Amino acid sequence: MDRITNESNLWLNAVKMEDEGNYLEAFSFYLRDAEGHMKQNSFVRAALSCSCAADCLVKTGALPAARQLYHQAATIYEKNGHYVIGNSVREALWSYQEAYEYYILAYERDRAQKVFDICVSLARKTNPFSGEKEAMDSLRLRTLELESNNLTYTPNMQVSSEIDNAIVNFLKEMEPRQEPHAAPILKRIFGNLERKQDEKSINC
Amino acid sequence: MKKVLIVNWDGYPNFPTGGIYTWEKTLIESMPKYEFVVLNVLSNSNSNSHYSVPKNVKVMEVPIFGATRFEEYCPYKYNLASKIFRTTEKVIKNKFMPLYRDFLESVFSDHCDTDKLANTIIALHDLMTNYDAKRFLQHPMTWDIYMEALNREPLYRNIAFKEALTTYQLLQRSIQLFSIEVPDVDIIHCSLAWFPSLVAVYTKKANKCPLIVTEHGVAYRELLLFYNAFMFDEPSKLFWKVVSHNIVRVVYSAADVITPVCKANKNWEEKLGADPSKIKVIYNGVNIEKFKPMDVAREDRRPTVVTVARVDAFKDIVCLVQAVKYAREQVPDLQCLIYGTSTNLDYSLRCIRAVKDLQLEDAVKFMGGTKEPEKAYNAADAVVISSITEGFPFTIIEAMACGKAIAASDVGGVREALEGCGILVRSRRPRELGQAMVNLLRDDALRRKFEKASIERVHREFTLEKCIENYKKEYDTLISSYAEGMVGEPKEAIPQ
Repeated sequence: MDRITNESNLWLNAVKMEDEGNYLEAFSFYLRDAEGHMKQNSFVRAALSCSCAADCLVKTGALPAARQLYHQAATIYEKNGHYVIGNSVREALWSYQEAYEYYILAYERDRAQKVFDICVSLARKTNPFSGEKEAMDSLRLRTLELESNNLTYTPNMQVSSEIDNAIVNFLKEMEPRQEPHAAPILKRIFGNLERKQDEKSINC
Repeated sequence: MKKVLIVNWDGYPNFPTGGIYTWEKTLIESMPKYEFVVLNVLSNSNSNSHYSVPKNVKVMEVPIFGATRFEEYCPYKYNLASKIFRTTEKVIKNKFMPLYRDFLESVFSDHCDTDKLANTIIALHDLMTNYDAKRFLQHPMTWDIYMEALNREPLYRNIAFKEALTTYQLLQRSIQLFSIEVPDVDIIHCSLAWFPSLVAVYTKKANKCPLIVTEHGVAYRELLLFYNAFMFDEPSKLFWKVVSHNIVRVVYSAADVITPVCKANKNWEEKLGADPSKIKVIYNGVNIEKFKPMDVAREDRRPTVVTVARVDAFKDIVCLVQAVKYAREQVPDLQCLIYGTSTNLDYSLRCIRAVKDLQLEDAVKFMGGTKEPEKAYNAADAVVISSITEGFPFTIIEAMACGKAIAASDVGGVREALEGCGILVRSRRPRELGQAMVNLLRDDALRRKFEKASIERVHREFTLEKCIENYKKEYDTLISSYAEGMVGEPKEAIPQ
């Protein structure tokens, strides 16, 4: 009960602010939540908060800043995909799908295409009867009507610089953490063994 | 005399059990005017080598794990010493390794170009017949190239080392099959679409002859069941699914005609990428002189159901035992006789434990294998099948020919065979199977209706003559169309 009523819970505060239409406050809470979860290596949760922060910025009309955060969310999802692929192909597939959508929202078509290719390849591997079309269908392209959005609020210069500062600080925090890459087999065997559960086999 | 190459995996004549063995034995014995070369790839090097085959049959046994040079199993002339001397480091690096890399790249890919893969296989075969395959495959560079190929894919990079090593060994052994030289033949007939059938891919090209693939239990479907049941490492499981799919596709693509034994298999083959225009269903046939209603002395008059099936997981004998338990709630004196051998000790012990745990010692009897299945069927009031996967099972059509009502799980081609002649239930549903047995045993009118319909249907659709005639027709049509150059490249006459 504490967890869902805790006043210091950044996520709950963010949701509350968002519900009340206080998007800048919500953005700030989401971003801090993302930062906290990155520190705990909860990548998916961090990516989710990051994307929510971006959604709030879209509502305020700060589109370039929102794109930066969508890009960040996509990057985290993509790297999470690489990270979990050895343990859960399904989670990896989902994570790549999320990454694809957020790269689209960040207007990064090339990176979206790269992730799309990874997604299609993985989908084909998991389902031998699935072709490119089926894999494509499984990617729900989230349409963000950025251009047609009826924006009612444009941040003033001071607010804008606050947003920029918050994002710069957030990205700085992210930098050293974003290398959750699965090591290649040989490196894992002869180098540092980072995940013991890899030595599973049909005999286990 | 036209020559046929039959490609098997753990089949005729070394393994005298199962539907494929029955099919092949019957096919060969019914075609005395053809000469057969049977290439049997054996996964167990200690498998039975005591068998007798007709005069028109030559057997090439290749124990895939029993030798490092398959030349010793080739009954034809070869000069191994010169092959070994020719295989220099330069040849290995410049000729073999690029092909080896191409092969791995193709089979690991989720969008494999089957033509390219087939060409690589043919090139590998050409190389391995001129040089020493053992020196090629035992070269340390093969391991490096293999690891390189795995590490290129984010998913395969996560395969556990032990799995990667096992996979490497299996692939090496499979590639070694390309060193097998087979004699000139007029037609190739594969009894499955899996690694051993790759021999057919290059033999077809070398002999300019047609290739038929007959799948009884769709190898890919059974491999999926195996991977899902016995592989717990997800990247390895997906790796094998992809590799298997590619191997199956290249065999389908090389085939001139694919003759599945039922429409259920046809659907699988189409979904797996086989060209629908190549597929012709040829149902299995039964010898109606041998399998017919007859009076058989019975030990007692208890209501009796019989199954004739191997004791293994695919036949789901444990489910059958559980079904008997449910059926005995309504027919307390019911007994079930299981005729069939086992090659899986663990599973057999599981079945015995199930019988003991359910206190069915007096109701379920393991009768062992029988050479007179027609008597086993005729000693039953009804026949029951509990399989989780099937092609077009002989046990169904044999029992039908004996005029028996059948309760069976609705898998593979069972529905097509049984149509209106028995009761179908969902697989792995012991309660449903038990109820079906009860319905057959209690309802005399229903049973008689099925018995009559079964005989009529077998005589109309599934006779041995009809089946053999279909294969003969395919052989003749394909051989003559190749000889006339209507398909493939024009063929020179084979010196007799």
